[in-house]
Amino acid sequence: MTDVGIGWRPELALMIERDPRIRFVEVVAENISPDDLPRPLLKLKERGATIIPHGTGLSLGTAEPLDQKRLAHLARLAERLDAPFVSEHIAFVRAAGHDSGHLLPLPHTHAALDVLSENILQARAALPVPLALENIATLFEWPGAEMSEVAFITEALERTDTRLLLDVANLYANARNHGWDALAYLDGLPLGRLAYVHIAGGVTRHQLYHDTHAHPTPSGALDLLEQLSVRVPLPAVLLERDDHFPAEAELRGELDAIAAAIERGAQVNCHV
Amino acid sequence: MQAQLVGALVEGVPMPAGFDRERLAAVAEALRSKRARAVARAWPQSARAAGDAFAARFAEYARANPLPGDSSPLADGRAFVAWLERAGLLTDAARLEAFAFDARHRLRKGRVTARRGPGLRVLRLRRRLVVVIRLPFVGERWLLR
Repeated sequence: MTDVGIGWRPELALMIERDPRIRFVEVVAENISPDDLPRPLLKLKERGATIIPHGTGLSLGTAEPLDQKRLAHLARLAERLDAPFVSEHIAFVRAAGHDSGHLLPLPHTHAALDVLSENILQARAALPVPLALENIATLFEWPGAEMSEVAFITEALERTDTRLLLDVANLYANARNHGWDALAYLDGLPLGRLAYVHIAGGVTRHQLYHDTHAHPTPSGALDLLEQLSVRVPLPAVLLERDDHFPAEAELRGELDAIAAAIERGAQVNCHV
Repeated sequence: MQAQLVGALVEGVPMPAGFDRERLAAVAEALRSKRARAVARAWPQSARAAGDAFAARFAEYARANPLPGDSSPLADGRAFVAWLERAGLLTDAARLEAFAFDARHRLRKGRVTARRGPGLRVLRLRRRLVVVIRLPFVGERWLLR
């Protein structure tokens, strides 16, 4: 049975607390102190919910040594939350002291793959639990690619023996904005490494799809989730909502739509 | 190349060659609005003090001030509030918001850390005096008169 969860945010704390079906959440690691965990989060932990620390600032793809403080913070959070793993992104955030405040794509080259793999191994060595890495949404690509993104990600995960956090909304966004074949992408991934799945909403502006986490989940992302569920049993799927929080009933409706998409896919393959 | 790309996206330095310029411009715009939105959420009173001019004011501030060290909206917003104050644009509610932040936090090299140990701070508003005291065992106490 797939757990359907939601990213824990202070604005959603009450809704999550009220809904005992939510047994899988994620916290943005940079917003939480391991020595001063929010009380609602501790309550969730007591109720037996799984809480994953989700980092956004480690910048695993930067061609520089990792920030040891950020790494120690993630490790400590994982311990305090009894998390089964920690997740981060296949991306870079900063370089030479300049911070973009955002997840930026990596060039899909062998040189970038070497840098990324080296940093992943460093991170893994410092973390008390396994690491799961996520594909990001991006509006642009680097020139001079030597391989596809799916080949790049697969090689990085295989080389470092790391788990996959697949964001189907990010894949949906990239397929739309770059003309990728999303199903071929799913088929190219090492799905045996799947730790859990992200899904979120977005909006189209000036012909570009923006993965905002502030709008409803598009049906195209739900379709991809269903297609993923045809291919592999899903341990957990998590909705990310970061802004413009709708009424509880609307969010519940989205969680139900997610559960229904998973179920439809699983029926096809009879792995309910 | 990574540093040049970040510079192009957040500081307006020339874009590196070979990229789709329109797409990079779209990313730069998305980053600006994301940053503004995060600060408006972390500093609601101060954002309100700027009123309809918030987006334009924040854009002006952001161009001259790259994201602070830990890229947190709290630290970014504190710098923005100081910028608004220099421009004479703060309301009393915004001043109180900044005062509460300063009573509890310290900014070091753009990173926010919690203040510890005893402390006393006073804020003089137009019609009010606000005092906050932090003492061992007693904790934080606010006096308004």
